[in-house]
Amino acid sequence: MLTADHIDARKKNGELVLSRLDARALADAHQLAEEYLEAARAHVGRTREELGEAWKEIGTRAEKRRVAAGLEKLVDDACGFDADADLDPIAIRRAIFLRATEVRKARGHADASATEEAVARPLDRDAVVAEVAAALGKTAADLEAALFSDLRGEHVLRAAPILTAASIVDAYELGRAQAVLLRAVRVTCEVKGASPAALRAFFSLLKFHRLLFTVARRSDAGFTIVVDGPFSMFESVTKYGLRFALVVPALRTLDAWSLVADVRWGKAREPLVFRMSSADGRGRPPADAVPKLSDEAQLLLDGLETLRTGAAMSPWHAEVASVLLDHPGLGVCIPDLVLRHRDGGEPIYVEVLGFWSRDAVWKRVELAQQGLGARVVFCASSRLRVSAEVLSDDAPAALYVFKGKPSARALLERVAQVYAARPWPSTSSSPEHPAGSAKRSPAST
Amino acid sequence: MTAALTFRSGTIELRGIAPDAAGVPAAMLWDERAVCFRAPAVAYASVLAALKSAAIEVDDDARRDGELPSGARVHREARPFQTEALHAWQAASGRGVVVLPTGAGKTHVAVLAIDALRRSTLVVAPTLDLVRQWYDLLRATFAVNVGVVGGGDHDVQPITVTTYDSAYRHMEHLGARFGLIVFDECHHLPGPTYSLSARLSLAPYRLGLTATPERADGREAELAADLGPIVYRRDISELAGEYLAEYETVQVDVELEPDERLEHDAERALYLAFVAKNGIRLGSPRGFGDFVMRSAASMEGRRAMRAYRRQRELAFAASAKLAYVEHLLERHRDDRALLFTQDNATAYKVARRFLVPVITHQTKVTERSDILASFGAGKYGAIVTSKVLNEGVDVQEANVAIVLSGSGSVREHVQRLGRILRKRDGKHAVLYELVTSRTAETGTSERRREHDAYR
Repeated sequence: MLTADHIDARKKNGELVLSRLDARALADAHQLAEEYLEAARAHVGRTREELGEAWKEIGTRAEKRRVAAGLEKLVDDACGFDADADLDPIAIRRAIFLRATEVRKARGHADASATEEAVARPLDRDAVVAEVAAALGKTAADLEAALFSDLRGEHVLRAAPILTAASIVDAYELGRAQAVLLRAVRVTCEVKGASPAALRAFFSLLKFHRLLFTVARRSDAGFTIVVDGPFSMFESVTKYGLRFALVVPALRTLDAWSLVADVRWGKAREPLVFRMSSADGRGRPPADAVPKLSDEAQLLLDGLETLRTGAAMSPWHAEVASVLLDHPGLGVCIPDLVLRHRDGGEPIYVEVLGFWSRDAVWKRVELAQQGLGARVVFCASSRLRVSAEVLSDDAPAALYVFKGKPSARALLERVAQVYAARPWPSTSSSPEHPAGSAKRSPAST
Repeated sequence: MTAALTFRSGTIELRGIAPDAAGVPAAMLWDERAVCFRAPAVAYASVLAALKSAAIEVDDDARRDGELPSGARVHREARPFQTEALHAWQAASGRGVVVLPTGAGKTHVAVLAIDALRRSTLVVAPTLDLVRQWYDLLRATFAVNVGVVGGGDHDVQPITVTTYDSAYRHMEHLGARFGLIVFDECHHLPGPTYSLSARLSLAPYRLGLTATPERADGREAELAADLGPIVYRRDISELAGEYLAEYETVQVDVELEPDERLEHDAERALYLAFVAKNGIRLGSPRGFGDFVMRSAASMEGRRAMRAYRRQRELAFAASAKLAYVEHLLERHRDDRALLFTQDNATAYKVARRFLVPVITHQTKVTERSDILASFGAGKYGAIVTSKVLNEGVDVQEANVAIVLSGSGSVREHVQRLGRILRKRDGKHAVLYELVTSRTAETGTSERRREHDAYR
């Protein structure tokens, strides 16, 4: 990932503004990226240090040094380096250095009279290397070449990147924003008109990274999402910055969004505001639309599939969910999985709650008691000290409390219970089309 | 209703108490996001005490640490000052910093503290070398499982050793699992990142160990909040002779060769001309940062930066220095010498030229262990290193230090000296400092020698 050293940013009225890459700057960046790539292609089979020297020349000529450094980093990341494996440098070093110590010690003990002689007759290093080489059946030149061949700078470029200059420049544009967010202490996103699937992916990513967030519905049917971490209320820490940065690609897959980040910039950690939005006109990158599941949810998904296809012949088909269950005024529920019975009927949603908040369980219970408009099984670790009895057996929602790892088989018992329960009262909103409300509704995981 | 205290991601949550309830500890703030009171984990001990004094009954589910099943199985006799240090720390309710010179046995103070407390313990050390060293010592001393987090390992045990980096990354999850946390070389702790590892841990007992708590940025004051005050202190001059090896320091001035001098002076003039032209005041606290920033902005600046680096390289690795290293290696061929350089490039240059093993951050742990073991056994007479052996790593047999180059840091120079001071019968240690005359190194040397240890 790029860092602050790779981007040009300036302060303006309390904001941190990335230098705009206009048409000329983009053309220059393309040219630079192409030069870095060409240099890499020309250095296949040569050392990282040699390639580094070539790249240094390109960077020295570049008008925008940080852009050049960023592009170089991205091309470097895409290169395939490897140590020369013909000889074991560690074994060679050991043999040579041990022999050199023996030879040095054997040349007599140090005393006042020996000092001048020692200066006049230094250790014959070449003789030591030649002696060890002969013992190993190699030449001295072989050993000299292999002596530090495992050092990073000596690694050999095996494969040049197969990327295009255009894709490097695209990655640079995304990387610039991520580099800023590494220094963020809090992020506020506004999202409008996004599909549930895309939103779902976005929220899943927040959950995956165990970030704390609150969601508020806006009057324009969008959401305001404030993201930070538990410790944020005591200190403005950049500890969560990497996680913010990793969420950006998912945010960019949404249709209309904006982001405001509170950052601490520079050595002085100056508080500044950074903004970016879908209106920046950079276009949408290829969407990585597959939502990431937590370990527990993935375990359940795999287990449910095994039960369906194995001897148990479970009637339930499970897949990753792509809806938001919104209850205006109370919060948003983001199921991980949706289960469909082979005989039809309403789908059953499964949400695995984040590990760190017991409060999230009570929020879900409250949501279920108020009526979610969909049948849901919430899964919570016993570490959260909650009981399945908080929801009645005939409710169309259930709480599955697991010890250690969740079990697909135990989950299906709850799913069957919810499947058989009476339907929700008719007042709830449809899960596929969450109703709008301006009321703020916390929904932490 | 009984209130409940839990650990969550480096914080402690208090539930079952209304937002406007009386007697809530001052360290706890109401968190609207989670509808509970929350405090940083470091406040755990004070929160518990405050709840008790306010007579608020609390179900404490925050702590996940446990008692060690047994104490130390090896009992090494403590030196009087080590016992004094332990007592001082205990008198400060098990929170505080012990300052002892390198080689005096800070580690043993920690072993005594772990043995006295017998709670699960996390030891945080700055480098993987030190992690390995702590791991070996603790495994040999205590009959309990010892784990390592960092360097590719993630094995959490009743006694666990980790690096500062890993502690920062993992304390959100580990913070409740240890009753005692030991920060070795704790002068690294202050700062916006590492200090979080102390604040995200609820360990009621905290011990900091260092030879040099003072920092150039003055942030050592933060140690008091994160670990406790300095509870015990002894300096090199108080312990030399009786508990540390006798030593001498020798400064050796060398001259550049004529061609080196020409190049050095030309490059230096170029660099200083840029500094003068841009009105950069190198003597000011932000002077060098200003130079770095301005030099990046133009071709002329970049050339000035190259000139700056080149004149430093020439001073660091002057031919005469390397010739003198040859002389010292011969003179001390039956001793154990540590050669210190400012940069890796010089360390590798020395290793290749004199065929002595080298340890840098690029050296793999297995090779480092082999080099250090062979050095201890006398199979190697010298090791060259840049900075990774500056502190903590126990090379008991070393009795000669050769400083080819270094920074102006007093701490670094004292630590390098400390590497050769571990007491052995009849040991007389000597530190050579090689300085290239009429270069910036002269001033650097003067700055780093501003310590009692350089008598």
